[in-house]
Amino acid sequence: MTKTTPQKRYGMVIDIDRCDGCGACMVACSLENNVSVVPPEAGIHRGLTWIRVYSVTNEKEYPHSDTAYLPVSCQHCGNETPCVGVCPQSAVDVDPKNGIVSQIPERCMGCRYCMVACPYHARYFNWWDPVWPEGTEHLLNPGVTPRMRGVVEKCNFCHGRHHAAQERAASEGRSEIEPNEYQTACAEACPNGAITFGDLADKDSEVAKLAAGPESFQLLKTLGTGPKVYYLTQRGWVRDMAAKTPLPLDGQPDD
Amino acid sequence: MGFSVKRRDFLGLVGGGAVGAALSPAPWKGLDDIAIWTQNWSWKPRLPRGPVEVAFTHCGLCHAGCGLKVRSVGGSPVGVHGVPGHPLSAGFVCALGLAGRYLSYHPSRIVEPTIVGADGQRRGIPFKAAVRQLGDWLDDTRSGGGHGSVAILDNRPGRMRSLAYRKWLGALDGAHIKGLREDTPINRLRAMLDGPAPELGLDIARARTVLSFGAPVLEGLGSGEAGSQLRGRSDSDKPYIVQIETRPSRTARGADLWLRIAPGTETVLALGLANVLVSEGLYDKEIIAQQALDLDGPGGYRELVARFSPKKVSRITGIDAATIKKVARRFASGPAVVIPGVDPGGGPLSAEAQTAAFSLSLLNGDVGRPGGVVARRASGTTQLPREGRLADTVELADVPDGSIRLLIADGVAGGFAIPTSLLERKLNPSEGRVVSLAPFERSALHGADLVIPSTTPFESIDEAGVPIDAPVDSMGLTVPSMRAPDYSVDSLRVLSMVAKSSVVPTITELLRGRSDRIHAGERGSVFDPSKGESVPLTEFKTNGDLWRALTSGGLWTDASATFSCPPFRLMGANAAIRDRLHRALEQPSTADGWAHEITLMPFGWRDASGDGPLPPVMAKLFRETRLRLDSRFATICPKTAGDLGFVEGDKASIKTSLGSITVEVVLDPAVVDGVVHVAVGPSTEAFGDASRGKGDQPLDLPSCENDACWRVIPAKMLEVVS
Amino acid sequence: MIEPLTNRAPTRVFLTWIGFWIALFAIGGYFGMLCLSQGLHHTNMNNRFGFGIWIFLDLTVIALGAGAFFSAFLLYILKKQALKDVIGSAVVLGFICYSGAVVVLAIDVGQPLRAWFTFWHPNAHSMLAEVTFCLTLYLLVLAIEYVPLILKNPSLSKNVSLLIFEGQLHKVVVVFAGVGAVLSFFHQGSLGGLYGVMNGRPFAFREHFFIWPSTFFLFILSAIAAGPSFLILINKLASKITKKQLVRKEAYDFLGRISGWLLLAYVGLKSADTIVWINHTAPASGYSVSEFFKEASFGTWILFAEIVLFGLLPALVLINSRLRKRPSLMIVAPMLVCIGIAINRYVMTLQSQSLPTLPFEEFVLYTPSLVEIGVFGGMISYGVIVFSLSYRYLPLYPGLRQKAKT
Repeated sequence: MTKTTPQKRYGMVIDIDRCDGCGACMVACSLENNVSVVPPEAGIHRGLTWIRVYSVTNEKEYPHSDTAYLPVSCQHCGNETPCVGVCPQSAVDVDPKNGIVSQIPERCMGCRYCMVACPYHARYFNWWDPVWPEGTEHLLNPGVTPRMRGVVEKCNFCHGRHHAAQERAASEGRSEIEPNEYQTACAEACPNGAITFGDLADKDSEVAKLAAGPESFQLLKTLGTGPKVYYLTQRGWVRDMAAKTPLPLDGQPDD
Repeated sequence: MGFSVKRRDFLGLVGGGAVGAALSPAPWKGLDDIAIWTQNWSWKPRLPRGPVEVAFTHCGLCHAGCGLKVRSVGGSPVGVHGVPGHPLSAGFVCALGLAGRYLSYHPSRIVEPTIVGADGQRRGIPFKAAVRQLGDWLDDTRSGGGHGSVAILDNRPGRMRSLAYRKWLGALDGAHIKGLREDTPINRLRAMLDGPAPELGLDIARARTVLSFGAPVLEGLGSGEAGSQLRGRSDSDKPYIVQIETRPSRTARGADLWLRIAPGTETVLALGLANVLVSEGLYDKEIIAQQALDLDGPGGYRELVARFSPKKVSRITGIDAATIKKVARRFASGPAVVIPGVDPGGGPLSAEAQTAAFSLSLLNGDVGRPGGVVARRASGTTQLPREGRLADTVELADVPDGSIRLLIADGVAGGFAIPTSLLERKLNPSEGRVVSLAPFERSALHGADLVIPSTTPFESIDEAGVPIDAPVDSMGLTVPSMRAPDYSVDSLRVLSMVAKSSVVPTITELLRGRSDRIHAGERGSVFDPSKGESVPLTEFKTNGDLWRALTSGGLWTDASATFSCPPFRLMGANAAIRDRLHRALEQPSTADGWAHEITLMPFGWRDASGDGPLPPVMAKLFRETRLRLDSRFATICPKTAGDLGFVEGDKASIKTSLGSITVEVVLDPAVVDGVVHVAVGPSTEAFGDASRGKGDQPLDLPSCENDACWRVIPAKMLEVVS
Repeated sequence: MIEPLTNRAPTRVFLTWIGFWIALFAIGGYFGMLCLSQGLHHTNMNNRFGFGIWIFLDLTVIALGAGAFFSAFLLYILKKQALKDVIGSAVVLGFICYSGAVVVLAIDVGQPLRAWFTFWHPNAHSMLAEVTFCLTLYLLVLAIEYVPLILKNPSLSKNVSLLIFEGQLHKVVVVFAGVGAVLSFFHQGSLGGLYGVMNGRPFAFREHFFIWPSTFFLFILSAIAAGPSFLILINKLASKITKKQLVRKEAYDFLGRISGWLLLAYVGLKSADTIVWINHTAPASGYSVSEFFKEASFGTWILFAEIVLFGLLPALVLINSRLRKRPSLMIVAPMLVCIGIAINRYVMTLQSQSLPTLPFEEFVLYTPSLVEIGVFGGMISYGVIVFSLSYRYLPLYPGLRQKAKT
């Protein structure tokens, strides 16, 4: 199989130690991407949260108790992307130019196989019709089409913003967009600067430097899915808990 | 030769036609059309269409007054962003601010005036009838009542609008009552200073230590900039945050040091810290020698704190003596900020706790020192032209019980909830009437006799707040980004319609007046959000230029002032508070003799409007994750749960003599044994709705009898058998 | 008017029987319409459980329905004449299982009107696309195999042209048996592949042979092992209900023997696969198998039950000709086989989703909602209705007299 080398590799670095669980990223994301609000009976497993902040405690008592907040969105897997191969009707797309994994809601029939296949539980299904309170439809972001009931949706690194930035660049006769022209809503909204977004392929970018740093790790790295979202922490227990380390292969011949 | 169609020919024709049609583009076009239709068959909303316009404003949802960039299509705001470089908010917007525009369409929005009839039923009435009714009540009250019988509850005192209220009330001998806000406690400090004091701000950004008594320092206290200063800087040059709080709040979890204090013992801890400062000679000796009026002598401060040895304090507060000493020494090592917190749901600390806490600032010589308590220049720019009498501003706690006959509540979003019982106690028991001028139903005012719908912050022009940590005065406007609906009305307009004697100016006249006076003052600078830079005020040639800048979302900031600490009393001037300080070591008695087994501590979420409504999308934080617990949940520690026989997920009833609430038990090992934390709203069951109804909300439980505090409520926790 | 065959139950008895099932079917239909018209929130599926009992049901009935293609293959291609007695019921059962599965799938997907996009924009790499293609085509094959049976109804066979058509169809049945075998082979395999390819779900992921994960082969093998057992079970049940000897003992014996040996092979391979999974596949992706079984609801007992209790045990019974002679064992053992296959499909579908992959996600249990159970029941009753009608009106069993009442 031949792999086309993407010109860009958009990714994210999230500093767990800076995240205080305020949820501004979740709200900003939902507003940017017109993510609908599900009815109260939905519970925590039937919501629509393209980025979802987990709160994890070390289960210790005061004064040793500690809490970490982990924002988890689609990890935009760059290697054997688990959701792409399973979709029967090519509704999941990896853009070879920038590595963004996106869902094509108009093509999705809602079989949810991709959700089952995703190890990051980062895909969400529209169990209800998308509903906004009466009169608020004209407050929606005009740049992103809302999804209909019965399809899967997920983070696409604010594809609407990427698209707008590209159009703007094209109208000015440029083929490439500048790094400061494209930011995700969560990175923009984070009051603590915990989220850094950018082009991982650009070695000089902030995001690439942070991702290459000694404190960075990927979620479920051992699955080999090559996520493009990296996490940082200096806290040992957080790293031990969140970064799944490879197990010793007892008596196995290979490596 | 006859032309006859044989069956074979016919079949051939049909078959050939079918094959031909299949090869034509028609069926493919048809399939594509079907595909497009099936792609969109189910309902989804229609998006706004049109060119995007960008405007700047300030957020009016709380007193932080963050700068906002608003993208609009066809007059509707479709996107809200922070303004990088803004002198106060520095690009910061909280979740509530991002989503706040949705509040205008909230299901609990009041869309017509309503009145409670003789039968106890609420019904809608025309606006004119509502105003007439208010006028009649005003006449009744004036003929029968004494001082303070007419009152306005102002959630955001200090605005030009507040001055108009005070003027209106002055003519009526009424009372201007402060609603709760973050910087309410600073008035305790001002009261400790001898003589008139300017407006004060806490210079958090330059402090070496932040000693927070339960203030949400990391959750959006003060300006957005303070938050990013505290969180974003490297460890070496950011203030060291000591959080003194019972609840494992986000600030407690994120603070450099969290002192998990026993419920309601903040006064004792503050005096314990003072004990260390005094006994180890760590206070600012020069200032204390020159300015302290009550340090020595019988009943003096020195005598008071001598009784609060770290050992004794440790027993009461649950914080070990070594830590108390360590914190006191850290505190004394440089400029520090003390913040007696006001919880959005749990309310303020007691008056004596606030006083004890601020005495530490005075001891440390922090008043008037950069990185401590700084003065906002008393520039007079907030003053109305002095004509007629202005009503005094009082704290709700200081209003005599039963004194109010007509309470007009300005329902501006404040973010802080107050208990029903506290408000009711202030009303005259037989003829106390409540008029609520509010955009939304709010729980404490649920039973208002008359409700008149007002505008939301995104619909009306007003002043943005000056955050608690702003070192200088400022003026920014909430420029409307959406049209106010016809049923809503500005509070000043209502007052002007019922005013008999005085002329009430419009809000625009008031703001323009202040703008003009600022222009005449020729001080400070103006930030232009579209350029991201500030220019000196003197570059604005005419007052019209300044007004145009302000109404385009600009922000005027005053030049900083120097201020030297005047003489002060470490225990304050109020004898009652002094007395309570001296009795702080006595065990508090349970107010109503209610045999309790658990301590209920209500709390609120800083950016989720204590008892106000919630934008629908914010319900995601409460309902679609476990990030925040709303009022349906009660957090206790595993040991308490074991003692009371609860496991995670159980339904429990929390009771006091005033009522009970039903909650779901959540376990958290970081909670203190014997304490239960319940959020005061939002009740996210009903589309992010504010709590409604009476007798079933956390703030319906406290009696607030001894003081105006409801942080610590003795209660019972019982199993609910379903 | 189509008349029932002779020797069938009186109309009143039949109507009572069928009425009950129609009522159940109607409830299922109503629940199905709820989901189609209002959305899948009527189910208890959620973002962690994208697949619920419907997918489990589909996988199980398709595995059990494998009796159809496998018997057709044995009878028409390998000329195992013992199966002549059961081929009619096998085809009907297969048709029921497959058509039922397709209908339930249509309710299960969020946008059933777009189901045809799989053909319009197929993803060649997707196991589900392969399933969809083979399933649809094989359902066509089953329908074609079903038609001659329908045409054998004495009332219909009076029509000469239909009779000729039936005769023509019969000639090509061998071709369809072959095509059906190939299609079934692939979709049974790709159903297993659905899980084995999920590189992100270590509980389901398995080693690959070329492009196929081991579950691909295990699903084929388990399906053709369980299919004959299910045929035994259903035919015995039908005999019990109708109080008639419908199938000769030799056919049962043959089916049992086939089922037993195939199952034994399956158990062997499944065990080998499990050992490789425990010692290599799962650890390589960073998971110790003990993590998968640490929750009480899914302990290692389930592994034991699947492989030994409902695998090895019935296999040993069925390969023993002496034990096969005992009528009670010939019910119990096939039943165990069918349950074992159901457990396997349950484990692959539902247990694999209960287990979180993210270390800070929680273990989630799922209980189907009334709507899901209703649709499940509706599909079962659909099967009973179609089988009952087929039995009443069509000569499913060559051994029975099949003249129409006159």
